[in-house]
Amino acid sequence: MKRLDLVRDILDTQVTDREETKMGRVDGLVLELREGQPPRVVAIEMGFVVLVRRLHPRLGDWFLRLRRRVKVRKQACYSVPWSRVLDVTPFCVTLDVEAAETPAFDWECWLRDHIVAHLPGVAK
Amino acid sequence: MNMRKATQLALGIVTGVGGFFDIGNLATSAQAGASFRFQLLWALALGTILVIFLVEMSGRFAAVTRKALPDAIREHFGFSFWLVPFLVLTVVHFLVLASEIGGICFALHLVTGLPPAVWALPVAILTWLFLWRSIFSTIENSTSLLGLLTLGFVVAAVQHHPPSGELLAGMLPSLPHHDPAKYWLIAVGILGSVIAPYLFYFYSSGAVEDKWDPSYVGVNRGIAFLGMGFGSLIAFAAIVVAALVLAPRGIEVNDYHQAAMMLTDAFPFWGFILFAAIMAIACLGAGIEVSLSMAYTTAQTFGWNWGEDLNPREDARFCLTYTGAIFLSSLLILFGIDPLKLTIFTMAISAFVLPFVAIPFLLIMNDRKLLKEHANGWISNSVAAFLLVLSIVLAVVTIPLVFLGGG
Amino acid sequence: MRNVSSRRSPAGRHCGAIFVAAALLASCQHQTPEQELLDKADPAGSWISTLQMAGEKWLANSIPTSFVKTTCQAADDDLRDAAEQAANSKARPDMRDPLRRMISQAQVAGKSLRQAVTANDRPEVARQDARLAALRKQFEAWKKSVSPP
Repeated sequence: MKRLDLVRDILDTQVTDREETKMGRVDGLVLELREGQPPRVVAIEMGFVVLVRRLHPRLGDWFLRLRRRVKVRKQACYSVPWSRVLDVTPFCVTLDVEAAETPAFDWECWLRDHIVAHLPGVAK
Repeated sequence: MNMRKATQLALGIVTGVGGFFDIGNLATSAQAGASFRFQLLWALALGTILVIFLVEMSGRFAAVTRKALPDAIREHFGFSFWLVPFLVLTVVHFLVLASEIGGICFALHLVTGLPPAVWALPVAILTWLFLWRSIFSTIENSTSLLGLLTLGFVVAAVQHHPPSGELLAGMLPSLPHHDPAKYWLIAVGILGSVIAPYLFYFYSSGAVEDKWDPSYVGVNRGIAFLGMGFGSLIAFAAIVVAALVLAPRGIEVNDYHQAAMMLTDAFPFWGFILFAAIMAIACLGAGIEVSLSMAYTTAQTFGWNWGEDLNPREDARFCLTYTGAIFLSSLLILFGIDPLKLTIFTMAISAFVLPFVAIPFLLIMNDRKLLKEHANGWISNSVAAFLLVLSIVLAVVTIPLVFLGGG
Repeated sequence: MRNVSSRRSPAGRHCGAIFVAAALLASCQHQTPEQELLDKADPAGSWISTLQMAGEKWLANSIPTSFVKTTCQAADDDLRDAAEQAANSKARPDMRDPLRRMISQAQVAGKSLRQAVTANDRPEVARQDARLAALRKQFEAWKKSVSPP
């Protein structure tokens, strides 16, 4: 059995998709409390709002309000059920998804299509 | 040692010569030599020893874990811990980048006579194009080969026959006979420019880009020692030239114009143009490194895809980070901020923030779970402990010095 | 369901203390008007030497005309500041007035040097260069005479 520390080994770790494209970090973990049994990790969360909420809950609220004006991501918080986790190493959490199709890549795709594509010298 | 490693070592040394010497070294060396002759050589020697150790550690970390430093520190200590060093690094990156761009603009001003502000945008576009169009190794190799021009300072220093007794005496710290505030401000600036916070963070990302593995630990040691050693030789030579050309004439460097003629005694015909070329090349090389470093740090903080070898379409956020950094920082020069004053201020800030960026780094170098037998030994840790104390002293004394020394 | 997140105390709370120390140190500085004048005089002396070197190097064909012109411009800006500071200084007149005279002479010499290189008038450049060299000597002598032993 592999022993993992939630905070040391999983929280804040690099997340990649199955092609090894870096798609963000584990910004939060969701635990389920069960009657009479140990808690269970059900999902990992990714998103700037999750990150700033860790600094201060009010920052998170403020950020959500800002999001009403500038909205590129479909969801502020991308929650991935633990069942999609393929592998966990000390340096990487690999998910069974395609990065470009997840909310974690919405900004990347938006910037690519709206800015980078219009700059000179970018191979199609 | 196989061919690839030998090439890496040679390149690393050349990069050290070219990449180590930047606007901060040029400005602080010229000031130190002009105002205090050889008396501040000790600050350079001390900074060099420390930076050799830091660069060796960051390269070793990258080779063993295949992770860049910002990446690992962010991951290991968490976002809340990393936030302060990250913000501090971003500010320093921004200021250093503006200073480097200012240096290129000033070099072009020397040659053309047009005000530096006119050059701000063209220089920003040029720097950006280098990053946008080339891949990592081409950048490193081309700027570092041109960076060998900086050896001009060494040739000039030798031609002036510096008094060896005085050189040796300068290697020992001593108290100034005049302007103590200025003396200490320059000393702090030299340390801030030599132990540039971006340098060791950048170096580890570069090693990851070059796909180093644990077999590179030895090569890395060679690069750190010889590359940084040779790089510091140039700064050493610049102090010597300023001490032998500017100081006897009573010229102090409060403006880059006052440093620009320092090579004309040794090379009457091309000394001036050589100075401008050295300034432009050194700043361009460093500017590229600093903008990349900023993009690496940001991308690794948020877990974005990154890599200079990727097409900008594959890491849009990474590329747009350096794009934004370059153009925003060039605005400082466009708005007419004096490049030398900006550089001196930036070097003081670099020294001030050293504890914030060095503490997490030194902590992670002792993590045996990550580094196993490659974790810091007692020598590295003694140097690290010394650096820690020094950096905290620097942080405490820097701000008053900026007020007293006139900034 | 609950969110697990780690809270670690942010580093660098000692920032405030450093700034207080800085402010204290900065306010502790007392200088006599004479000492202040001496400190402010150094950049002016440095510019006199720079102008002299520029003239000398231009005559030796080591530097381009445009550089001499922009150097004269930069020198003029700083010398004007120095002149203003010297004029407002509360130092004793027998110390302050010679410095003011030297600065204004340097300003004139800088302007003449600039005109002379623009006109490519080598003899005039040589004359201004000699004048600046003399000013430099005068400045050193002044500094020696007024510096506290």
